[in-house]
Amino acid sequence: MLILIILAFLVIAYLDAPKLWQKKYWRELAVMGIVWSLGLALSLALALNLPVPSPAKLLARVFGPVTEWLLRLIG
Amino acid sequence: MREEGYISPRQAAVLLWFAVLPTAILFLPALLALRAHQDAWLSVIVATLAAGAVALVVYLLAQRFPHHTLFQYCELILGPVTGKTVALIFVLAFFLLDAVVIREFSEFLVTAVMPETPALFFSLSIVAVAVYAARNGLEVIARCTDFILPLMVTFIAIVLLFATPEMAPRNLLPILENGFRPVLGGALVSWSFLGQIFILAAYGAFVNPPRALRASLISGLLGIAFFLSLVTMGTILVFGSCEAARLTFAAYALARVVSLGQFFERIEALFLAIWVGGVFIKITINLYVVALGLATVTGLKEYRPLVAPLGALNVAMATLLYRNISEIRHDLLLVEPGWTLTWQLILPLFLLVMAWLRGKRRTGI
Amino acid sequence: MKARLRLALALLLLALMLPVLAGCWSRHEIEELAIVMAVALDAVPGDQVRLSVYVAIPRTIAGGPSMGGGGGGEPPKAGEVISATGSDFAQAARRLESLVPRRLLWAQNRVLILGEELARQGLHYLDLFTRERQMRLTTPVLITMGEARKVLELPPGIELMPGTILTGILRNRTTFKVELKDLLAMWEAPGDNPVLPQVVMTPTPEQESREVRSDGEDKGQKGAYKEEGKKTPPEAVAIKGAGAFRDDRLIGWLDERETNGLMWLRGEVREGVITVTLSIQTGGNYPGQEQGQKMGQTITPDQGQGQPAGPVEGQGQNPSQNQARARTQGQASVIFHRASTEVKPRVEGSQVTFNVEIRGNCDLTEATVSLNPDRPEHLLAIQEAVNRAVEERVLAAVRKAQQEIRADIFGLGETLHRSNVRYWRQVQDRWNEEFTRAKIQVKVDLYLNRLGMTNRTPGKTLDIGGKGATQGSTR
Repeated sequence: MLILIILAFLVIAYLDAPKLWQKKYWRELAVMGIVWSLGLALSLALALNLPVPSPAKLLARVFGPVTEWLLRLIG
Repeated sequence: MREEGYISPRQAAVLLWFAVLPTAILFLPALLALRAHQDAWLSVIVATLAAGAVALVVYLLAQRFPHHTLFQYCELILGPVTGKTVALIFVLAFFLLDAVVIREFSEFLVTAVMPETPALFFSLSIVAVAVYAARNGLEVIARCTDFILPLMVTFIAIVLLFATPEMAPRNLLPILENGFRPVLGGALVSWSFLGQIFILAAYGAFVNPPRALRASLISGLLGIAFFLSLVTMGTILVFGSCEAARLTFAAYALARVVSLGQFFERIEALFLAIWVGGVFIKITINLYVVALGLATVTGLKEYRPLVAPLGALNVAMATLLYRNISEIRHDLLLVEPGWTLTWQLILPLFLLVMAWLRGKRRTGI
Repeated sequence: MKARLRLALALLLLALMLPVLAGCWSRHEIEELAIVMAVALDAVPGDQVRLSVYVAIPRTIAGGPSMGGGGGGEPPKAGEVISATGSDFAQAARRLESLVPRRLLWAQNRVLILGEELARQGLHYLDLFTRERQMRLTTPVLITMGEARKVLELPPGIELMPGTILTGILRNRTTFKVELKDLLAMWEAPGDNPVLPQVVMTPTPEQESREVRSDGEDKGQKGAYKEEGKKTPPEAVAIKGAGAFRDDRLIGWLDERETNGLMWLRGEVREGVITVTLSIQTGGNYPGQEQGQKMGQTITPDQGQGQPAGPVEGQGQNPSQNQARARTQGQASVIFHRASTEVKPRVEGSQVTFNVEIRGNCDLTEATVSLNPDRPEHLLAIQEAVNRAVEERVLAAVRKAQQEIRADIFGLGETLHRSNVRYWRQVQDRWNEEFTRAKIQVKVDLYLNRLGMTNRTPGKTLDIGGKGATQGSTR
C-alpha cells in the first residue's frame, strides 16, 4: 500500500514538475510542492492508520451550533 | 491568473446544473422527506428562492468586476492581505465540497452496487478522470456537459415518466400539515445543495458575453429547481413520505421501481452509468475551481500543475472526512446548512458590501 | 532517454491498470450463481426464523419446460427449495450459503411469502429485505396460513417456478397486489394498517402440519421431503383472501368476500366480475311479451349474493315455479374494467363518518336467468343487485375490521388525515380504537351499460308471441 501511494505520487510529480523546472517556474513548483507533500503526508498517515483529525469534525464543532440556531430560528 | 477559454452562457447554466444536481437528486429527497414530510417539494421551491439571493449577489459582484474571478476580486476589494485570506477560505471551502462529493460518490457505489470493491478505488478512478479533464480547461469541461446533459435529462424524464404507474397523488396531501416550519427546515437542508450555484462566481468570468451572466444564473437556478423538485416529488409520490425518508439513495430507488410491462425494468444500471457521468462533471468543475483559486491566490501563471496534486490530496481528504455514511447524513442535515450559508451567502454578501462601501469596481478588462 | 522513460512509465501504468480494466473485481459469472426465485419466511420455535428460498436449477430451465420430463411422467422440478434457520434472516441467509455450492443472487427474487407465525410476531423482520442492496422494493409480498415454506414446494404447473406462478396470478388482478414498498407504507402511515393477499394451497394443507422442530435446526431439503412424502402434496395455489394486520402484527384473516370489499374500499379494484342471484316474478309471463304488463314481471334482486357459488337455494325452487319455461331464477354476472372509490370523511363532534362512493361502469357478461335486456328495467334490476352485492361486500369487510381485527385496514385514517388535519391530530395516537367507532356509509353507483355480443338469453322462447316475441319487444 505504502509503495503504491509513493509510486502514485511520483507519477503525479512526474506529470508536471520537469516541465516547470525547465521553464524555471519556481513559484508554481513551490506551490505544487506544498500541495503535493501535503497530499503525500496525508495519504501516508491514513495508510499507516495514524490519528488524523477530520476537518469535518472541526466544521461540525463550529457550524453545528450555527445550523442548530438557524433551525431554532425557523421553528 | 487568466484562463484562455470562453464558455457560452448556455454552457455556464448547464455547468451550474451539474454543479448541483448529481449528488442532490441522490441524497436530498430522502433528507427532505425526513424534515418536511410530504411537503418536501415545497422546501425545494423555498430553497430556490433563498438561493436566488446567492445568485443576486454573484450577479452584482460580477457586474462590478466583469472578467474577474471570485478569487481576483477578493483581492481587489479587500486589499492584498485580507483579500488573499478570504480567497483562500473560498478555495478551502470548494476543496472540502469537492472532497465531500467524492466521498458521497464512492460511498454510494460501494453501498448500492459493488460492496466488495474498496471505496478508495472508486474515488481514485473518478478523480483520475477528473484531473485529466480539469487540466484541459473550462472549455473542455463545458463541452463534456454537451454529451452528458441530454443523457441525464432524458433519463430523469424516463424514470419519472415510467414510474408514474407507481405514483399515488394522495401521497402529497395534506399540504402544509404542520404549517410552514417543517418546510423551512427542509429548505435549510436543500439550501446547502442549492447554494452551490455560488460556484458561478468562480468561473463566471469566462462567460462570453459577460452581460449574459444573468441569463445563465436564472436558467441555471430554475433548471436545478425544476429537476430537483420533480425528483423529490416523484420520490414522495412513489414511496410516500414515511418510506421516502427511510431511503438512503432516493433517485436510485426511484430508478429501481421503474417497470414497464415485463420488459422495461431494472434500469438502475443505466441510471448508474449516467449518474457517474454527472458526478464526474461535478467533481471536475470543483477541482478546476480549486486549482484556479489556489493559483490566483499564490499568484501563479498556470493552474495546471496544481490539478493533479490537488486531486490526490482530495482523494485522501475524502477518505479522511467521514467514518461512515451516517456521519455524512448527519453533516448534511445538521452542519452543512450553517457552513454553506456562511461561505456561500454571508461571505459573498460581505464582499459585496465592502465593494460598495469602498466604491470598488472594475470596468472593461 | 526521456522518450524511453516516458514509454516505460506508460507501459508500467498500463500493466498496473490491466487487472482493473478487465472489470473482474467483484465479478460473478452466471454459472457461479444460484438464482433465488422466491423467498418464504417463517418463524420456528425457539425465537428463530427460517428462511426458505426457491433456487432455480439452470439445467432444467435451459431444457425448456416441455422437453424435460422424460419417462418419469412427473414434470421435472425447475428448482430446489432450501431453507436454513437463524436468529434473524441475515444469519439464516448466511447459513443458506453454506448449503449451496454457488453464490445466492437475490436480485431476481419474484415474491416474498410470509408465514403466519412470523406475521404474528411482527413485520420488523423485513428490514433485511429493504436494506440489502439486491432486494427490490417492488417485490410482491404474500401471506399464507401456516407455513410459508409449503408454498415453495408447489409442483410445477403451467409455469415452472412457484414465484412465476404467483406473480402470474397477481398479474391477473383477481386480487390486490402489495409490493414491499406498499407494505412498508401501509405499516408506517399513522392512519393505516397492512393487509396482505393470501396464498392458499388447494387442497388446503392441514393447519396442524406445521412441523415442530425442537432443536430449531432445519434438516435441509431432504428431511422435509421425507415428512412431506406421506401426505398428498398440494396440487395448486390460489391467491384469495387476505391477512389483516394491526400495526405490524397479523391479527386475522379476511375471506374472499371481505377481501373483495376491502379492495373496493381501498380503491384497489381494477377489473373483476360480480355475480348476483336474481329471481324473476313473472307470473307466467315471459318478459317481453307485452309492453303493458310491466308491473307483473319485474325482476327483483335477490339477496344480492356475491359468491359465484353454483346451485344456490334459489335453483331448488325452480321446477316448482316454472316447468320448461323461462328460468325465472338464476344468476347474472357483470364484468367491470374501471372503477373508482372516493372516500369523504366527515367529523361531527367526536363521531367520524366516512362516506364511501364507488363509481364505475360494468358490462353484462353472463346471465343464467332469463331476461330480455332490451327492456331497460331488467338491466336496472341487475344493476341494482350488483350495487347491493358490492355494498354488502364492503360492509362485510368493514364489520370484520371493526369488530374482529379492530384495526383500520382500509387506510381510512389517512383520508381523514388528508382532509381534516386538526381532528386527525386529536385521534392520531389511538386511531385504531377510534376507527372501530367510525361510521362507514357506502354508496355504490355502478352502471350496467353494455350487454356484450348478444342480448336475450339463449333458449326457446316458449311463449305466446313465439318467434316474434323478441322482435315485438323492441318496438
